[in-house]
Amino acid sequence: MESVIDIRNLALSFGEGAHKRTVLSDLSLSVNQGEILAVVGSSGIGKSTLLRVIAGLIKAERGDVLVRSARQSDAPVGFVFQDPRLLPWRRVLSNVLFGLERLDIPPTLQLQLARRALALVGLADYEDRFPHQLSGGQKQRVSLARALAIKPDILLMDEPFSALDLFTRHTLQDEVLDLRRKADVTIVFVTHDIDEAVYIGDRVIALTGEAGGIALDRVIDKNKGNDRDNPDLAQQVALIAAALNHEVSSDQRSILNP
Amino acid sequence: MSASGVLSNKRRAFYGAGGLTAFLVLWEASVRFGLTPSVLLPAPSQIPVAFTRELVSGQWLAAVVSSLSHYLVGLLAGASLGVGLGLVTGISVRTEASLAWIVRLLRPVPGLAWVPFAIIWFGVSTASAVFIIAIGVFWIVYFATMGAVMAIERDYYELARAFGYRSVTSQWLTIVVPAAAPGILAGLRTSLGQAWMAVVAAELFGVPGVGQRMMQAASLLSTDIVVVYMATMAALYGLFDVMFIVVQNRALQWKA
Ligand SMILES: Nc1ncnc2c1ncn2[C@@H]1O[C@H](COP(=O)(O)OP(=O)(O)O)[C@@H](O)[C@H]1O
Ligand SMILES: [Mg+2]
Repeated sequence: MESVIDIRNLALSFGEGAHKRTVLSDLSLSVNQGEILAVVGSSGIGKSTLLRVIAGLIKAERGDVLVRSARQSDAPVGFVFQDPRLLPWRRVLSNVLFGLERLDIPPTLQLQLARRALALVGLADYEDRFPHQLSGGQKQRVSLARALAIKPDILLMDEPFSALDLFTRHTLQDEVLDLRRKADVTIVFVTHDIDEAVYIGDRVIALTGEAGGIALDRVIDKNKGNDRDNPDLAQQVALIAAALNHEVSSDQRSILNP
Repeated sequence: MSASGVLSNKRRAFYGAGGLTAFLVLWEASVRFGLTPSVLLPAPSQIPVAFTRELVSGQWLAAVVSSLSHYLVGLLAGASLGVGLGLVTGISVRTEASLAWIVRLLRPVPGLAWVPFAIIWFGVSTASAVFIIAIGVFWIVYFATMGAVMAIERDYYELARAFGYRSVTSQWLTIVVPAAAPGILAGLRTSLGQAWMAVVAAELFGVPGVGQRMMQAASLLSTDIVVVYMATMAALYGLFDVMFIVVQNRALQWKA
């Protein structure tokens, strides 16, 4: 299988001198074309940082980060943040157009792409609203449409549904799975919820604070269906949780006996 | 709405009109019954006559046109400088730091303290009136703009960069200007009132306009004419303020 993201020995830290804090050290990771990679890990471990590095928003201190775009397109990566981050002065349609306006395509086509993306997330009738007139779930849908409108090869999602109620969260999770069936897109999906990771991901990795950075890398077997109450998946969740708990306790040990 | 929660809009208007009528009646009565000498204070009933006289002689229109041109040009000059410099210092920490001490030095100087220099540099002319007005407007708009730009959430810049707006110019257009617009407009609205004060002040020194006409009338003890121009200024300011609010509401209809 062809990989679209290749990270080799990535290292990154914030701050200077005594305040220097290493966030990712020596992390290597490949993401395959068309795959949904779910990334779990406790808060502050560097999940968002990893996504920012992939998106090119921050530079790696050491190591190589390679992002291959199949189409050599101008907009290979779409980003969905934890907060919807809509621009409040733009109407819904205009928010979805945000990434398109910059591209070298005719305005009529831009409109068409934006409307199609809005329809995809079920908000075709809301294009004239302002963000403050939407519910939390609708805003996050618009944010998803904004990322999809540019038809990215790679979609980076940073805990996109964690602020939503359970019902909306489940609906949007299914929409992401549905989206992958329809479009040829690779997704890196960050979450702190192992259930969500197993449900969404073809593969789940868990980040840790230790060198190497990845405590667990597991392909989720979905041959028996991806049902929410599939006991197989529940078992996967339990296994990952156990592995993570082990990691956490070994982390704590290393803090106690450095 | 919530502040007037106890009174309906209609009732508020009723009380407002009642208060104003009572004020005018008391004023009229105090002049008629000789409580205040009519040389010092004209009765409100004299004002329409005085106004008609000024209008017919053409002096009213000339004064208003002249003052309005000072007002608008001064406003435009001060506001564009204020917005422009505010945008730059709001974004660039280095520019802000470089200008900080100069600002601290000049900011406390009241706009009217520039009158001597205005007269030395520009004479008693339109240019000097515009200069005085522009200075007052500049400071208000400059601080409002800089503050609004500094208050923009960092997250919006990250969003812009994530979607390919990597240059500063492209971020100005997509993020900075629209995000700072509410703050800038609030500053502009404050400056509308400040600029009127500066108009009168500048014209009291002899630049033709409403202020100058008031001084002339005062020296002849034509207090009714003074009141005509006071009312004129109140009306013009009210007109501009209302027009501005309409524009502002349109521009900021995205606000919750
Ligand atoms: N811009 C930054 N400056 C300084 N520290 C940062 C910055 N961004 C993230 N960090 C730190 O890096 C660590 C990892 O952050 P993050 O990637 O957001 O974690 P996660 O998404 O896993 O919760 C945290 O300790 C955070 O405080
Ligand atoms: Mg995060």
